[in-house]
Amino acid sequence: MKGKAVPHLIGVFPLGMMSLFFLAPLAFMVMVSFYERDPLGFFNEAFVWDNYAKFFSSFYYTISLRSLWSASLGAVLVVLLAFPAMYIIVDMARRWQLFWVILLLSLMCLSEVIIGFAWLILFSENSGIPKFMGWIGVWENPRSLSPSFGAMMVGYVTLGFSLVALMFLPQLARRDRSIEEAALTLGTPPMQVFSKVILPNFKAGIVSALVTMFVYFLGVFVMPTMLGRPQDWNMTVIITDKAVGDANMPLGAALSVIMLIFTLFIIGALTYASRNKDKGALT
Amino acid sequence: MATLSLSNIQKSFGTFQALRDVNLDIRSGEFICLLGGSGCGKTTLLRIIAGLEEMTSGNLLLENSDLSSIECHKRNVGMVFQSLALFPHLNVGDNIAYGLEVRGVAKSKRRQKATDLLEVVGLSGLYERKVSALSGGQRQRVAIARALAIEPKLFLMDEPFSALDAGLREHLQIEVKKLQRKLGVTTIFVTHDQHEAMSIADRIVILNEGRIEQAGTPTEVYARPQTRFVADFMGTNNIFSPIFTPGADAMLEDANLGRPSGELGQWSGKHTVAVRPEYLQLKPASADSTGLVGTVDFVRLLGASIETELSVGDRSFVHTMVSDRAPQFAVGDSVEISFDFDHAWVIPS
Repeated sequence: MKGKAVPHLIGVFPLGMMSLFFLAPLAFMVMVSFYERDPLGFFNEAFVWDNYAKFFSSFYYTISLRSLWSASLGAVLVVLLAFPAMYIIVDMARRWQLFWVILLLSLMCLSEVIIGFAWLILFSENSGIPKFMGWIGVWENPRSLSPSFGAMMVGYVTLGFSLVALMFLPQLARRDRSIEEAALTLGTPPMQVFSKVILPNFKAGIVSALVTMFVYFLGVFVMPTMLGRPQDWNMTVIITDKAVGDANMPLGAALSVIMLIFTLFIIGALTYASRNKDKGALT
Repeated sequence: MATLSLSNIQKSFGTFQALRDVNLDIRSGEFICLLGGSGCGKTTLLRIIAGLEEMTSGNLLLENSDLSSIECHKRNVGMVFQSLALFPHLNVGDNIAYGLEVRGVAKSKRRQKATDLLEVVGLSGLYERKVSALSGGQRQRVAIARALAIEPKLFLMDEPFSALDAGLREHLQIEVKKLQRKLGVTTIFVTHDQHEAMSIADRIVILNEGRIEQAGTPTEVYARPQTRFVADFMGTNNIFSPIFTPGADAMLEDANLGRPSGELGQWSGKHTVAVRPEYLQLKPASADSTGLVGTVDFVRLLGASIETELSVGDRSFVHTMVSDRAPQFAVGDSVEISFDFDHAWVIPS
């Protein structure tokens, strides 16, 4: 009994911290979302649905869909690039594996702002990629590549790539390579082994990485503001704009709650779908 | 069915030579065991035959056509891997039908074939079961059925039973042998276990440091080892080098081993002989014993037999006898060891 009590006691600490630093602000945010805005100050205590009603205007509705689209596309791009890259890296010689892992860890150390500035410079008309392309004669009239949706996506991929790649590293490194060899001996052409055997085997890991990145990209702030156009901004930027710029904390809180519900719904749907598919295989 | 011919197969990994001049002809429908210790090259040879590894040089012919120029996925070779390598994302039936699906066989036909094979390997009714829900023995059977589903020209098995307990292992050895006989498929089975090789192979190929030491029927390699390595590897053998003189007793240093009969009686000089433990005879040593006198070091019961380990100076001998009697000797007893030269096998130098 005494042996069991110790891990339970240790477990109480993170649960307490979660409650204190996550659930308490969340509860406060839900509460504020029903308050009224005070034009002269912060907010007045009340219970109104006005802040939620505003979400259904075409402006917020469009921004929500755009946020979901950019987060989904960013997540897919990151996983599409990181998974095959890691698949190649884990089969490299040990020193090259080490080189890439250190590079990925270094990328993780960079702040979002530094990455944003680096891409701003690289996309700029005067000193970056466009200038280089003009210099080598590939682009006749080079112009700045940012702000644009594409530049914002590049920023997303740079942010998420190392995280996803390192998520896949242990799974891919420890995989049973004889499964791929078995597929070959059974007649699978080498080019199809990846799609027929490796991808289905890593489905759970891939879905998990997609969901993680999707949630992460829903909340990014720096990349859309630095590399995206105003029409590319996501809900996080708009919430910050409303809460801080317009001092409308109740509206910001209501929008945050709606985004949270959206996110939970999508994660729930994905989990349900993947569970159902597993059950389907059994029947 | 296949006739496989391997000639002068060489394989190097950097400076390490894994296979050296391997020459072997395998007849159609034969069950061959590649036997050897770790790093002897047996798995490398199997992988070369499967097309998973390229040989450095040599010729590999299947029914007189060059197999080495055919890509792995086109060789039509069924292989059971040491880790089994079942596809975790597919159920049992789909694992077995996988190779047929790749070949474009219609769904109904591949389902029927997988169902039939499940029956053959004794897993009827488990088509829809997840592979993770199977026991070790059931997984083995699925791996075997999957490899056989494609009706392979060659059936390769890479230490498939190494992770199983002794009982299940023996049971599956018998099942595999029966199945192979029934289907008549040419089979190459890799193992490091001489008992396993003896119990299932038509012919055993013993590899050592990338070379074939000896290839022959289980009886041949067991009773007539051609090298000292084979004599050692094929189980406990008493190996020693007496001096023979025509018409006189053979001597092992000061010990008189008696007069060799038959052809051995005409031999002269020092020759290495192997005598199996069951052919040694023990009796209590007396003060005037001139034969091979040793001391009992260890006695153990091995179920059906009793094994006695003895030392004669710095040499070790092993004696076995059926366990229907109580052990005759105890640790520390002084015994005289003798044998009939008819049961001694001279290892060619």
